[in-house]
Amino acid sequence: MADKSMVLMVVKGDKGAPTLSDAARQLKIPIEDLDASFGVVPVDPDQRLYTVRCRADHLKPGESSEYRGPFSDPKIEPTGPLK
Amino acid sequence: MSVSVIAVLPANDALRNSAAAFVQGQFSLDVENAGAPATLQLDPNYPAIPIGGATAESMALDAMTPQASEGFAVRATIDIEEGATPPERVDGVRIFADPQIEPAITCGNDPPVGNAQDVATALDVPSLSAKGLNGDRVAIGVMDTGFNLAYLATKLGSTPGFDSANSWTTPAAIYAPGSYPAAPPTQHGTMCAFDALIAAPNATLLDFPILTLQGPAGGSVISGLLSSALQAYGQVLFSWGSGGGLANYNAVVISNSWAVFKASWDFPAGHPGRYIDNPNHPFNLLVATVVRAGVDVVFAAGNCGADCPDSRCDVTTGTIRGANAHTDVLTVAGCDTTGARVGYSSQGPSIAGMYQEKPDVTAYTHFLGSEVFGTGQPDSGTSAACPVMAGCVAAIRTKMARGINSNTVFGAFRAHTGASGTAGWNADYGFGIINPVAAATSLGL
Repeated sequence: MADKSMVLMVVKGDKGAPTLSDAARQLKIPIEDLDASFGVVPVDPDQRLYTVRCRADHLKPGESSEYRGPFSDPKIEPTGPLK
Repeated sequence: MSVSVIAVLPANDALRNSAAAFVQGQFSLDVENAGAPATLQLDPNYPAIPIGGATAESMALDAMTPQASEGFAVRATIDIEEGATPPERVDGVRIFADPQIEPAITCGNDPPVGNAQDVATALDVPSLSAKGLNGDRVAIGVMDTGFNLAYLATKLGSTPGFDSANSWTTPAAIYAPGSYPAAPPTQHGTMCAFDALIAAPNATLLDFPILTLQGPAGGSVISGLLSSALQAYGQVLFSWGSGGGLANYNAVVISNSWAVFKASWDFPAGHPGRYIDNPNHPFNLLVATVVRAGVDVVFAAGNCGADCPDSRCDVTTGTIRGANAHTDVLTVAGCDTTGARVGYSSQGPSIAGMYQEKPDVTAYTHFLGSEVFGTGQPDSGTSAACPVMAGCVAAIRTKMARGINSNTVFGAFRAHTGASGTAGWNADYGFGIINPVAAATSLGL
């Protein structure tokens, strides 16, 4: 199972990339729950979509019909040499 | 139904003459005078092979010359009823099975098959170079464990192009870009960097050590988290698309020799936030955005091929997953320098939910190259095939105008391949083994 303690969430940025505070407000979680070292990463700026990494346990059910997460953050490994 | 058999015929002049001619390099048989019953259709292009007395006890060398042999093996076909068992004899002549055989397939622990020079020859790098397609003013981002520039310089005999400023300098990085040890456990990135330069020796390397970071949630040294890749791609998008340092290049190619090996590393099947089968996962959305911005993204198919999968694989079908199966990327299977698919190369179709016709193409792997895993050890896995492919893309991008999208370039590679076993797409090779010169020519280069 992927680490469920940290997940990815998609947030909106109507005036460019949102700040972490904006993201926390959208997700209704304390800013301390956001991974500041990850920051806010663009996903599709034309669609005003950005992503943040946050603790999963304080997330509330989404109010929007559009799914915004939580999305997994699975482990990745090199495709060689063979084990 | 026609069945291939090997028949054993008693000696006569026609058989002796055929066997003697074979020693001189001629492949023929006088089928009219070979002494076979009419129910055996002899192959006139297969010589009679002396087999002595045709028993294990009568195989002395001096009994197996064309003149001394009592029996000769010939190739033939017989007609039998569909599903029937072939007879032991046909009109008194003993027959034996002639089953289809295939070459031994290259697997993970096998020694290298050829070397980097053989790969360069197979790719016809001299012709690419003659066209001026050498990767000049093209950046190759190696999304991996980090690489070691000094090792590459020693191995190559000269220092390759390297752009530290536009590499990834995240606070979570363990070493400076280009200085990751070419030793366990971070040598994988150095292998990838080496292989990317085979077709594009003038390309500029960018170091994105996404697999070596100590992630906020604690990644191990040779595994990372997808969020690291997401962050790195975000930097590429910003730098390339918003007039940052990468905008100074003619093109940027990103090489990705990594994957999610087990479905259990991800959210459960059916979860809307799952990665491996979900085009709407943020990373898959960002890959689409980066490609739309004009960056070429190349992914390894993975090492879960049915013949000899990596021990980390949970299954051997539907194993091309996540961004490795993204519709906008070029997904690369692996073959050895003889053109034979390596047995560990993941086969299509990809996981349900993602683009199905993956891999796209096949490139070379399992050759003696960087030797970063030890003297005589191959550059292996689809991990090596991916940067070989990325180098070919970089070479072609050398003389292409900016703004030509990835699909045009990738489409040329898909449409102009060498051997692939079958026409069109197939699960082992995709559209076939790459032919970069033909792809370049088709693009007017």
